[in-house]
Amino acid sequence: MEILEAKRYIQEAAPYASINSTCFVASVSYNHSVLKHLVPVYLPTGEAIPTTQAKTMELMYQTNIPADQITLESSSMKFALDDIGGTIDGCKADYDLHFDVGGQVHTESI
Amino acid sequence: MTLKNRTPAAQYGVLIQTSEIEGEYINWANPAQPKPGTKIHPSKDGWVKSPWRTTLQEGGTKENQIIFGPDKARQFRDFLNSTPNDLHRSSEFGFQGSGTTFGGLGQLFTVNQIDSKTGIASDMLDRKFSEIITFSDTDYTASWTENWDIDKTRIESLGILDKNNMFKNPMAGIIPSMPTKQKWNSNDMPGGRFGRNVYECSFFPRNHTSWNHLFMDWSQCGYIKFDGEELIFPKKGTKDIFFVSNSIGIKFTDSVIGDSQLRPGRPYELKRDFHNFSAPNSAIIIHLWQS
Repeated sequence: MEILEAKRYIQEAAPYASINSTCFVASVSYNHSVLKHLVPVYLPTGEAIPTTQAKTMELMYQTNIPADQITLESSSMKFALDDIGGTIDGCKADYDLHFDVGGQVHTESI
Repeated sequence: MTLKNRTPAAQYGVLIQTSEIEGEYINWANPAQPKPGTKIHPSKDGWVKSPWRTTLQEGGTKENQIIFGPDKARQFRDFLNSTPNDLHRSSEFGFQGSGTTFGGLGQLFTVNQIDSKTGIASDMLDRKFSEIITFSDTDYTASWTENWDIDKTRIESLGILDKNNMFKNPMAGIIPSMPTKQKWNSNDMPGGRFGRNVYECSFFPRNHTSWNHLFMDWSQCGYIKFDGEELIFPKKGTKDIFFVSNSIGIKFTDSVIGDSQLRPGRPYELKRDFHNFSAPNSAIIIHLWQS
């Protein structure tokens, strides 16, 4: 099974700083950038600041969070889930992006 | 963890990102949401339809881990109790099963737990995934390693290739709706003329609007070309697109034209009825065609 889509990916994520009981800051490496990014991450009620990379990633993606506690700030990447590689529109948008900014290669019919 | 270079190549609805890596390289793939219309079955939300995608590499290993987590225990159990043959084949799809979850490349290169060898042989396709790959019920993850060395004896023993070295469904069209970690290491890749690369390939025709449109209108297969052997590569549809994992040559019988070299990292369109790939180098060839 191959699931990698040509898109922006997180390569590494770890808790960086604690803010309060509802939020912490994660240090995140993306595949498109050498520098690490500091990203605020929402913490659902009762959750502690994660200690593992998998849990940090889960909170950033908000995959296992009760629906009434999901937040929609863009840094959570919740927006991205609906339209990133796994969808038709996301795939086409990604294709168009690279097609338009120099990623287009010539047709080569053999 | 270093990404030295990343180059996109878009044409024919195919986008290939060439990632040149150095040392360990990890990507987390975002999960798609199991929304109505994307689920593979109304009651199943562990897997969703997606544009066709695959990664290619020349040798080396790839480690995969799906993070289900305790809240997705049901989906975790569904997966470990399923078999490769269960996973979403349909006779209505082009080539009778385009877009299956564990497609041809997964079968060829996954190191199975049954005999600890590389490949899920054709007689293992009804064995449960719990026997084939590793499941951890402490953190609810599924993990497996792929070995991408093109070993002729091993690959032929799996019973997956036909007599023309063709196999079905190399590109996945159904993916887990959970975060998935993928890891490569350039140190175990042999490296060649084009460096140590991971090719991230996706396909969705611009004029198509639905999953079924893609799954039924287009078909896909792959070929394994072994080093030192020629390979006949036939046209199958009204529009044929292909791309390769390694540099290979095309033999032209016309001595004026001479041989032509294909390179990985970009798609090509096949116009002739067939081509004869020349002997040097091993490669994986992905072939997409519209009937």
